[in-house]
Order: sequence, then structure tokens, then C-alpha cells
Amino acid sequence: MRLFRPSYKEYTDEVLMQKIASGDQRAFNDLYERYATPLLNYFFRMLWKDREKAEDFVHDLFAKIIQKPESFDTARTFKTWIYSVANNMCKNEYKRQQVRSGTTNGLEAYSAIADENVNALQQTHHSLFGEEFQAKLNELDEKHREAFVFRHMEGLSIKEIAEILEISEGTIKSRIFYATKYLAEELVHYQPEKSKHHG
Amino acid sequence: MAKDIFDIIIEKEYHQLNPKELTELAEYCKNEHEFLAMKHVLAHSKSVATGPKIAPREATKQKLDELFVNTHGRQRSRPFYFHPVFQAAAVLAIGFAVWIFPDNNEIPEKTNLAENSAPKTAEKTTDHSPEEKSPVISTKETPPENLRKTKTPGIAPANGNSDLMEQAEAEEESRALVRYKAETASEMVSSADIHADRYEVSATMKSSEEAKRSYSTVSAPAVSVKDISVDADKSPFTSQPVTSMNVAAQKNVMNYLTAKY
Repeated sequence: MRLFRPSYKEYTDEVLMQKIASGDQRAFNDLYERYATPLLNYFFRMLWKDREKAEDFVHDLFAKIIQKPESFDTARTFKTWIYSVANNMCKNEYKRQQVRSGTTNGLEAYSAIADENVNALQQTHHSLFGEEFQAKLNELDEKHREAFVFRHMEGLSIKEIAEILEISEGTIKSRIFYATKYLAEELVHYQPEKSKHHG
Repeated sequence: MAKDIFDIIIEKEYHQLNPKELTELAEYCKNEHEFLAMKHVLAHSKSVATGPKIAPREATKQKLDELFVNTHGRQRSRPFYFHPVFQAAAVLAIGFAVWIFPDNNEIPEKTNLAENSAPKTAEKTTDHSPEEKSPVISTKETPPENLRKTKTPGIAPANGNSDLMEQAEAEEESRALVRYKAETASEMVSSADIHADRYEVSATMKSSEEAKRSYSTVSAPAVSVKDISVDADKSPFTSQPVTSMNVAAQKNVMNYLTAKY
């Protein structure tokens, strides 16, 4: 018998979800502490760096956990489940933006803003690489962007991404390569050796 | 997490790739230039992923906390003494107290202490055990003198010592009678003041027959404790305490003397 109960830090996400379902607020606090920041940054990246929208999405996602904890699919890991929920929320937002703006995926408006900075980015070199990188990332179609973000921005494994998106690992790997190659080609002028070559 | 092809692109240079890795990359990187371009993008992505992140606002958490309370209700906190850490600390504190305050009831041998020089018999007399304090007398012990002499009419004796008691009473009575007879014989005639208020023994009485007649006609036997107690210091049994037993004994003596003389 253990003298001390394990700390909430030692509980797995799945155990915390069970405790949340039974009304344990400490479990919710711990789960929020683990995932609030990564999810906020994920929404921030996926939703055109809109901080307010990202905060709202984090709130809505955890509100769903509070109000319907039974919606958690116990057959899956919590991490892949919550990212799949977040990804679906982003997809729904893309659709809403598409309806409002009449654009294909709602990203063009933000891309246009980014395009205005192309010349400046080329001139200021690496310090603005990040902004153009984000702009080009937003230009990617949804399925390639989500795979790339999950792998290289959120640090998930290919297996986890396959579970989240419910597609094969090979397909995930192919999508990530495609997105990477696209970004590399679009941002080639920021590459030091290439810049020298052009200069 | 197992390394995949993207980790290899970030970590290795193009000329460090082995044939297997080159084969896997061939579909996406046809030459070193494309490899470096991908490497640059992935390195930037990694720096973004590991770089500073924005933190959620406190207001978001507060709204969620309110929602949680409204949905699940407020949890009742457990008393602090139910916490295992507190219980363990209490056990440790008790253990430490026992260790730091040992049992000091033992008297050191070399300590100078006063000795009680009284004899053991004296100790026994002053030793008040609960049994001796109790008014209940053990059947094996000899009853006190006043109780030994007490005789309750109509109640059978409680043990076999009653015969001995009666025998002792009889002997005592006979001794008192003999002593009284001797005293009476020598002093009755001359000591007219003895029992004068009751018996009105005349100084002129010459014989016991006259005294007998006078007693039977003038005086009356004592019938109460008070009567006897008043003259207790004058009675021949002054050495004994005035008790109902003594009254009975005196009555017997007086009756005996009346009958005899």
C-alpha cells in the first residue's frame, strides 16, 4: 500500500479525464495546465495568428470537456483525441470564413496582408523569415498544413498524427513532405547559400 | 519518440546520409540544394516550436472555473487531518516525543535518599490497605472488641466464633461478678454513698438480707442506657466502655445480686 497518494502530476491524461467526469476540479486544473498553452499556440498558428480567436477556441474546447466529458473516446489517447477535436474546430472555422468572404478557404485575406510584406521581407532578410513562413504556411491547403503543423510545430509523431487525422502513416508522411517542399521552394530566397548565389 | 526522416534531415548534412536514407529522400529531394532548402524550413519550424509561446489569459481560466462549478458543483474540501502527510507528521511527532522524553520513574542507585528507620511492625500499623479501611470485617479476622461484645437478639451468629465469644463473655462476667462480690463484701456496708441516689443503701445496713429487701422495695433496676450511663463512672465496670453490652451485663449482675442477696 502506498503511504501517499500519487500526485495529480503523475496521473495520465486519461485518468484525469475520468476524475473530471466525477467532478474533480483539481484534475481539470491539471489537465488545463498541460494542454492550454499548446492548444492556444496551435489555434494561434492555425487561425491566422488571431489571439482573441485562439483564446475563444481554447475556452470552447475546455468547456466541452467540462460539460461533456463522456464525449472523450476512451479507446483513443487523450492527446490525439483533443488535437483531433481542435483540428475539427479549425476546419469548421475555415468553412465559416469561406462562407463569409466567399474565398476558397478563408486564408486569402490573410495571405494578401502577408503579400504586402514580401518586399520588406526580402530586404530585411532573416528577421522577417518567420512572417513569410507563416504566410506561406497559410497558403497551403488544409490537409497539408495540418499535417505539417502537427509534425513540426506541435511535435507530434507521425503515428499520433495518423490517429488524429485517422489516415495512414504513409499518407501523413507524404503530406508532410509535400508541405515542406512547398515551403522550401517558396522561401528559397531566404536560404543563405542561395542568397549568396543570387547576390 | 522514434526518429523519422524529418529528424534525419535536420540533424545530418547531405553528404552524411547513407544509401538507405538517400533512397528514402530521393522522392522529395533530388539534390543537395533541395535538401538544404528543406533543412532550412524544418530548422525554422523547430525553432518556432521550441521558442517562446503565448500563454492563455487568466480570464479564460476563471470563466472555465466558473463553468466547472456551475456544472459539477463546488467540491467539499477534506479536513486537513485526513491528509496523509499530516497523519505521517503526527506519527513522527509522537515518536520523537517518546524518544526525547524517556520514562524516568526508575530511581538511580547512587542517589542519596532518606531511609525510613521505623520498624516493620509500625509500618504495618500505619499501612492502610483498602481491606483494612473497609468497615466490612473478614470472617477470618477477629472482630473488634465492641463488636465482639455486641449481641443482637434474634439474629444467629454468622460463624463459628460465636461460641468462643459467648464463652469469653461468660468468663468476663464471672470475673466481674467475683470482683464485684469481693468489693461488695468489703465496701457495701461502709460505703453508703455508692448508688445512694438509686439504691438508698443505708449506712446502717448490717446484713445483706436487709440490703436485699431495701433494694427490692425502694430501688428499681436500671432499664435504659441513659440510666446506666449517668452512673457509669460509679458502676463497677468503669474500665469498660458504656455500651449496650455493658448495660446488659450490668443488668445481669444486678439481677444476679438481687436474686442472691
